[in-house]
Formats: sequence, structure tokens, C-alpha cells
Amino acid sequence: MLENLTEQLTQISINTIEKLTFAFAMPDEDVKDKGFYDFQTVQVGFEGWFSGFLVMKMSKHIIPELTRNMLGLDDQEDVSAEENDDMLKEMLNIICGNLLPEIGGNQALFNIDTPEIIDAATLNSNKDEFKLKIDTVLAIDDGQCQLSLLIKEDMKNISI
Amino acid sequence: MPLNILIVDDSAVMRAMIKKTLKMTGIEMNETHEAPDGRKALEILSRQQVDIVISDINMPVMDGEEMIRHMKETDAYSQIPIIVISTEGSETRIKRLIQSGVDFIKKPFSPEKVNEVLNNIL
Repeated sequence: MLENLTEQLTQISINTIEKLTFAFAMPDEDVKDKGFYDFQTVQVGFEGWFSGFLVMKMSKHIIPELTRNMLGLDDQEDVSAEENDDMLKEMLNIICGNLLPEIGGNQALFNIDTPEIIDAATLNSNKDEFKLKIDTVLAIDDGQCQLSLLIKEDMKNISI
Repeated sequence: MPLNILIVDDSAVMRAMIKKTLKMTGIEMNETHEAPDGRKALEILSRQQVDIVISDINMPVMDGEEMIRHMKETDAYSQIPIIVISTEGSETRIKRLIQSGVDFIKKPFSPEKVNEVLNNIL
């Protein structure tokens, strides 16, 4: 089950990133946790058949390029910090919106909160409340995207 | 005839992306209006000629479902085609939307899908 969830999180994230930004993304297990990158972190909460958070950490140096690609802007055109944050929030919202029905089935109802940019230092301060944590790491250009799905309910309540 | 299009989404980046996608489809556009929520969209509808509304569902202030309900109950707007572009994954909610008379496109979307839906409407 864990492998299936990881695969679902990975594939939906890759599909979303590629469709939104035309950037090539692929699993990047080799450089996991080496701490090479300065990240911007965004998270979204959800409630429904099961509840929790989806967290995404994106290498800061590749974010403007992703935003420009999404907006169809040239390489030289500037994007604001607000646009970069908006792009990350929308990307995570779409990943979450596609992932939850993939896990819970298309009859399952979920309410997804508004994504928010957060300080990584305060991330998951209460880890004990989650029964399940699924991680995936993607390489995008010369940067990295880390995603974590945190679920509050026991695994036995989740059917695939 | 060039169309006046109203794009409703709380994400400015997504509104820009939808606008870019519409240009890619080759659809003839006159004016595009933008609103970050359903209430602002209804304000625009009250003073602008709009031919198609493209809207998200999950938005602050007034969500897309409430805006659609208002539009369907108002004679002046009830015949304006509405395309919902959303991350909504629940079949129950999607069916409810379609039954209310809108077209549905799931995010992330392709220009081809937007083009297909627009062609069905026009």
C-alpha cells in the first residue's frame, strides 16, 4: 500500500508540474535529504474521508522559471514574489485535488483548504498526530521538489 | 464574432494561464474580464457584456457554486455559458455541477481540452 501511495503521489505530481510549467520532472531519490537546496514551502490541509496535509518544498532558485513557464513569459521577464507564491499554491492545490480522489475513489468527498506559504522551521511541529507519512522527491531542472502527504487516520481506513 | 470572456479564479497566476490558453486555442476574443471570486464576478456581469464565464469553484468570499446559482436564477445571466475549471475530483459534485448546466474541465488542463469544450458551446 505504501508503495502504491508513493507511486500515486509521484505520478500525479509529475503530471501536474509538467502540464502547468512544461518543466521535465522525474523521481530524484539519489539526492534525497542531502540538503543542497534552499526551499520555499507550501502546504494545504484537507478534510473528508480522511484528513491531513500535503506539503511541498520547492528549490527557490527554480521557482521564477516555473512561474514564467506557467505564464508564458520570456526568460528575461520579471515575476514578482507574489506571482511565485501564487504559482506554488496553485500547483499544490491541483496536485492535492487530483491525489485525494485517486486514493479515496471518486465517490469520496473532500474539502481542501486554501494553500499557504509556510516557514519550514514550523513545519509539522506536531508530527505525532499523523498516522501515515508518504514522501516523494522529484528532480526539476537543477532543482528539487519534495512532497509529503501526511494523513491523520489509520492506514486500514484507506482503500485503494 | 469576437467574444467577451469573464475569468473567475482566486489565483491571479491561474487567471493569466487561462487567458494564455484561450489565446492558444485561437478563439476570437474582444475583451477579457477577471474576478478573484464569485461576488466580484457578479459585479462585473451587472455592468459588462459577457459571452462566456470561465470559473473556478473553490474561492473565498463567494464560491463558484453560489455564483453559478445566482447566474442561473437571474434572467439576464441565465443563458450565459459557464465553463468550470477546477481541481474538484468528487464524481458527486461534478455531476451536480454538470446537471446545473455547466461544462466541466479538470485542472491541470490542456489547450486541446479547452478548445474542445469551447467548440461544443459555440
